[in-house]
Amino acid sequence: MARKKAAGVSRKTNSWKDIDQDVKAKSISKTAFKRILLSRCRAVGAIVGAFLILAAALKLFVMNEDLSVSLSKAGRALPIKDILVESSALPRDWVLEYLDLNDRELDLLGLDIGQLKTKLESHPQALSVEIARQLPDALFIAVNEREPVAKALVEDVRRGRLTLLVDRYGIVYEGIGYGANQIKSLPYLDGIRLRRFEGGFEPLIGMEPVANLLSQAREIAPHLYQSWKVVSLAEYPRLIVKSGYVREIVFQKDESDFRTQLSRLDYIVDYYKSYAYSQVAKVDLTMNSQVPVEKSLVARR
Amino acid sequence: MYRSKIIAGIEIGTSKVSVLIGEIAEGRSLNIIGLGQSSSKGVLKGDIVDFHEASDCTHAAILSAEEQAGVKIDGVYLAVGGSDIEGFSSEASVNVTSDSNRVTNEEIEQVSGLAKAREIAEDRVVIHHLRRPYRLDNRSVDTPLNMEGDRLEANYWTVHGNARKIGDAIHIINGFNLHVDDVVLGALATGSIVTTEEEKRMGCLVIDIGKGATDFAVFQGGRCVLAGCLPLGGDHISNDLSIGLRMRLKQAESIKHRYGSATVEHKNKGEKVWLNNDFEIGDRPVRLWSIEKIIELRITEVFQVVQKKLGTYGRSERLSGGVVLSGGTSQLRNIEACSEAVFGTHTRRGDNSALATGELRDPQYSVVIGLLKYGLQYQATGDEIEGRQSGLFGKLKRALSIG
Repeated sequence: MARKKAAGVSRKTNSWKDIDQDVKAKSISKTAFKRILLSRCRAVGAIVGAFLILAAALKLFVMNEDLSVSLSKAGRALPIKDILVESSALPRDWVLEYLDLNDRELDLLGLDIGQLKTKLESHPQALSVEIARQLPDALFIAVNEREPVAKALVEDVRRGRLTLLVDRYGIVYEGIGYGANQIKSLPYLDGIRLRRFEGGFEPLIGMEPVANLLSQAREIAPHLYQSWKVVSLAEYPRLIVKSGYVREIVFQKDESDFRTQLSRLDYIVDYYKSYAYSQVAKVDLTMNSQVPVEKSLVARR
Repeated sequence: MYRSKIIAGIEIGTSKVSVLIGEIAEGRSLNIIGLGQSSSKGVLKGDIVDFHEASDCTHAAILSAEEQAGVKIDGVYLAVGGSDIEGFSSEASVNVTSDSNRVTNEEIEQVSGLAKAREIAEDRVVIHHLRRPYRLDNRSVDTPLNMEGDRLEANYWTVHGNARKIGDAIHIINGFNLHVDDVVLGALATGSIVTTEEEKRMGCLVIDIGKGATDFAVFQGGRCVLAGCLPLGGDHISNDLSIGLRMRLKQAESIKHRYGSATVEHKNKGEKVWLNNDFEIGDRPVRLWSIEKIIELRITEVFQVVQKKLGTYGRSERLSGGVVLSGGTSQLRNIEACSEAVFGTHTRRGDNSALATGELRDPQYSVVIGLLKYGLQYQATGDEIEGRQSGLFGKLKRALSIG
């Protein structure tokens, strides 16, 4: 027996390393027991802590899922009853049609608002779009549209002659929902080259000075502006306006000087009208204080 | 990335249990971070005679050290000693068989294996195989690889101890839910601290005289070539004083500390000292010559027994590095002179100043500091502790595996 169990020593190598180091409960002193107990408590505490954190995380996840489901259910229980569209020109029906929001039962929370916004913003007339859910049953769409400053005539192979609108940044688009008077009041653009690009047209270069000129003319001298028919960019940076009374007005592209140029034009027009001229052939405002005026052959009435 | 490892050196001695905790950072540097001590109980002459008492005092010391260090110990290096530690020399030789007569790795492994294969009694376990220099055609060589020769000899000094006694010491540590990474003979640990590389290269003897046992180790050529243990120590001096001068053991212990000298300093036999020095009833004068003579005889006897155990390794010409004394009893006055008289070579007291400062420079901590140094070397070699899992899972498993 002693041969078999000499302190748990293996007979193979007779090294101290063969001594069994497993601890028997009986051999543990009170001090060691307390330490082991503490160590175990810490280990168990760590495990329990980890489980609690895991359980809490799981619970939060499930709660989040439940909340989504309940909100989703609420949305279905109260389908969209009203779609509010706020725009300056785009008609409500066109917006709903374009976003495919007609003729189907809509789930307020099921709608992908981001996708709708992206789709609507892809239309050139829309500058920016805001879409929001108005709980419990309404969808709100606000479209900030481009403001046309001029129009251009193009010849389309399939659709024939088209009138396109151009905003101050040179964006060319088919205007939707504008009134006939509004479009009629816009001058035509001449001397431009439209290039097709991704289903539309490339933005026109040099439109910002034109827009500034037109807006200042509308503001300072509306009686002049209302007779402006065409703005030509053919000699850009000189801007040539063709109007009813003065057949050709040449502006220089100095945006800070439009007000002065318009004042001179107004003075010249008044002057010639006072002398009963029915039409002036050309006024060149590009030479500062020296303004050549070309009288018409049928000048006086 | 190498994480730091917390190791402890533990010495369960006859007078006290010492626990020193060190942090091995990056596998290279050692920081001593905790010390725990307790009075030893259940240990006699280095042997455990009462497992539970020895467990209690050892565990108290470990707990104290852990609390001071503020960390948990990962592994333990345990010092062993005691009356049962013995050693023997074993030799083996092989013929160099390669065509060029150059020694190969296989031949070195073969001769080492043969030398270490000597059987020992079934109740004994090997603690260390201390390799001595190889001999290649009667030339002493340290590393014979690729050297030319016909016959390669290996010689090992095998230190072994009683399996039950060593098992008891290990199980005391296991009882604290700690694993013993290695068992080291006390003298070997001490020797690594109190000697210089020069002394170890030249040949020196380290004697660690404790309360109940004396460990010794001989270093030659920079390595330990012989080590052992005697069941003799400071207790025996006190015991002889007690019997010879008819006093209680406690009084003998006190008088040894107050007036003890390892050589007779006071030739005047009439010179006396007071036993208790408190002038109370029972106090009496004791002849100083008698005290010193008894101590001298006992210490001389210890040295002579050590010398006998050393055989030819104890000759003065083989100990040109001298004798280094350590342990509590080495604090006796004139002990160097006594040693020099026996060994015929210069002797000094060892200190731990190479690795320790302050309180730890005291020779009583040489063993535990040596254990930590041993642990550092062990870690630096990158050896894995067999059967142990590291990392979080290993820790968790160890934490839950008791009982």
